[in-house]
Amino acid sequence: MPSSRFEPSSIKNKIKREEIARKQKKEKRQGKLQKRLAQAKAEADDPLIKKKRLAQNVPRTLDNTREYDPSTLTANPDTEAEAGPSTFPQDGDGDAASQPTVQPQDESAADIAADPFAEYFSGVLDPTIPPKVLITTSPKATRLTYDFCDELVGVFPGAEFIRRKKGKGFEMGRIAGWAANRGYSHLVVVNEDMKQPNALTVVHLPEGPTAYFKLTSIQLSQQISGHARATAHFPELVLNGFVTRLGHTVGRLFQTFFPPMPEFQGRQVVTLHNQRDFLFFRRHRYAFRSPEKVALQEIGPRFTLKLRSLKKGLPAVKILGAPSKPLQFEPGEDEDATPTDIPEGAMAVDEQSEHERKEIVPPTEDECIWVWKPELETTRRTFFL
Amino acid sequence: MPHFYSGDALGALKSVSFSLVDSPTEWKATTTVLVPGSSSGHSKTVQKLASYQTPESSTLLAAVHADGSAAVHAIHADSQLSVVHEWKEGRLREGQKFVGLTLKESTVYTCTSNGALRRTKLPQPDSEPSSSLSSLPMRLCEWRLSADARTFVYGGEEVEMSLWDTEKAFSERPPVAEPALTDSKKRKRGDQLLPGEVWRAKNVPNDQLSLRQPVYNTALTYLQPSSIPSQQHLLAGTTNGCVRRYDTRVARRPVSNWVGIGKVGGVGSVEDGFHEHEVFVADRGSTLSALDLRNGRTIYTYKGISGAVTSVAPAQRFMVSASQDRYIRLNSTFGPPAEVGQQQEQKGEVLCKEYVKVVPTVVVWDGFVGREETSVEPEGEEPEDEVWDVMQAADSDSEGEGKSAHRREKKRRST
Repeated sequence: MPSSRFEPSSIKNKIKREEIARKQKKEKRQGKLQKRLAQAKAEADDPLIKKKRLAQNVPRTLDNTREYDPSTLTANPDTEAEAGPSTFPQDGDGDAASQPTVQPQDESAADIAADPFAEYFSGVLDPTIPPKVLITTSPKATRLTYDFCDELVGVFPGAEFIRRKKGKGFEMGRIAGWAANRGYSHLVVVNEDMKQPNALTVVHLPEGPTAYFKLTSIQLSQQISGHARATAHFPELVLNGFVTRLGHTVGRLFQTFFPPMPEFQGRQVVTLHNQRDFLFFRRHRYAFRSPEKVALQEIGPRFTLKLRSLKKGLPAVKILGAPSKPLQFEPGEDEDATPTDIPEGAMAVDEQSEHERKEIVPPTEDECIWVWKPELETTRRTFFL
Repeated sequence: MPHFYSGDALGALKSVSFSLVDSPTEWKATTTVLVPGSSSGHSKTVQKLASYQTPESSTLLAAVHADGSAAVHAIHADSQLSVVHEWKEGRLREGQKFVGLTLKESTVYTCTSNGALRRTKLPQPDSEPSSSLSSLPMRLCEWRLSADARTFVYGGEEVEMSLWDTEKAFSERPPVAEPALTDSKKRKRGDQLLPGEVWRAKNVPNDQLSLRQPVYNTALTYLQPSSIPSQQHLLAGTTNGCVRRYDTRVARRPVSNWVGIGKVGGVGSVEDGFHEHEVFVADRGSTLSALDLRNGRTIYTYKGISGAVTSVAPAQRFMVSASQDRYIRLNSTFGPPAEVGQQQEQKGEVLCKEYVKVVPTVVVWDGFVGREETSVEPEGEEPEDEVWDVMQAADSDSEGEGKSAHRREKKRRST
């Protein structure tokens, strides 16, 4: 088989064959190096060439060739003539609806405005009081999980760790109900399996939703070399790459963990970066070394989350042993015969006072808003957040 | 071209129609907003929706909202909307919701979870609107009116499935003295039928630990319309995932009780399909499947649904589902195999999904039969071949050899 190129494999003598092959490889390597050096020189002379090359040579990644999801709050890149890369950096401090590049339609904006987090964004809360966060573990937790919880307490300004009580009657839903009645805004439960923290359940109080995340790649501050010390200042928040409606829900959920107004003198930034549906949590301190240059120092911890399910209300508590109730009829039967506007006026008054002391009880059944299933990932380029 | 109406969490009413584009497998949805939603939270959430096709080719659409308001709209041929009648259910308390709505000719039935049943007669040219009231037990989860409007059935939390005579329910006003009676003679009254009640189910036997099984019917539907009020086939779904079939002629206990159908959060909705022995069951976890009523087996499950299905609307060969993940999906349906236990050859799948921006809470079919039949015909492969075969047989004598050879070839291909 005569090939146009000389193949060292056709040499029968092993020593000679290896020698030739090595030489060929070296030649190739050197050729590449020379090419690179020449390119670097040309680009150093004329920075425009480099700019042009970088603009042309965009690698195709799973992330920037992701399949179009109609729930993305941007226009469809197929119908639009020009579309940027698929990640739209989103500033955590701005409302999702009022972003300049992302223009959701009317209905989406109304939908976002009516979601359970709307109260936080409406500005009725005092920006100087951090939201109260209750952090606890699954039953029978061990050292590693407690260490991780300690780190979480340091991250959220209003966080408080309470050990999970032993015994029956301390289901997650019930704890969520108690916490909601005591004015907490979030419940975080760190789940442990095989003596490792493996999942995070985040409950927004008082009416949900409940998000369940897979938790991996935990590195505590101690394990990060050259880490900085955290201060008690309210951090700034960067939420990166949440583009779909589901992504916005998750992003807004995390936003409500932090006080709306950061304390800039602390120079701390908490980042939640979404890439291919993995949420990377990082915390840094920045320092302006010069007007142009900024230095970052990591504070820690690092961990990675992946959304597994999002449920509507608080976690459900099943009461299977409840006694049977007899058939019951609505009392005050004849009230309905009277026109409706009379009781309504009376109701509106005591409705308000009742709302204050309304006990929050967990539901008996879960309802999923979104749940991850393998069949949903039809291609490797399907992402949901 | 199946056509549906949907209501969403912000109170908007939309019309969704599906049509084929270009190829016989590619469906496209077009959505038009009939009534825009409110921008102030979920107080106007559409909880139930019903449509009725009037003889003068307009559609009546009844919707009930979370704040107790109800409205009937007339949709004319050019999708113009006009309000026929509006009222407010004053007996809807806070934390309660509508569990049933049916629109029948010019009568609207509504029922709330605290048992406020109302029959509203729509204004006619010669009559004023009127409404009559009745009251049912509290803690209802679902209420359904039969196809001929002579009976209705309800079920709920610690409320057994119960079949009522509609006329008697409205004419006799039983529960005025009821609360006192139930308190004092609870044991005696427990099993007795209420005035107007035709049949009431009985709880399933205790389990192997002789523990009572809780009664929590979350979804129910009529099977096989029957003309005799007291003879009905009913299907109920419970919160612990059971699907139970009742035959009111035979027994008060379910004639079959299929366990473990609803996997997560119990059964969310059950709906009778258009094929024989076919029923659709959705749970609160993101599963929607078709069931064979003869043995209670799942014949297929729809793929790619990521949120809980809130509402199911079968429409002849299709079925539309609305789900918490903000999609309305058009699904194909196939009946169960001819004999029990045979392999299901064709499985239903999602033909088209439409993102509707706001969580759709309910979807109904417009009930228009004729339009669908015409557009469906040219879709299939087999009918076309049959048509050609028949033609060939009729005029094979006069035609040349070429055509019959062509036909033979075609036959070979099809076999």
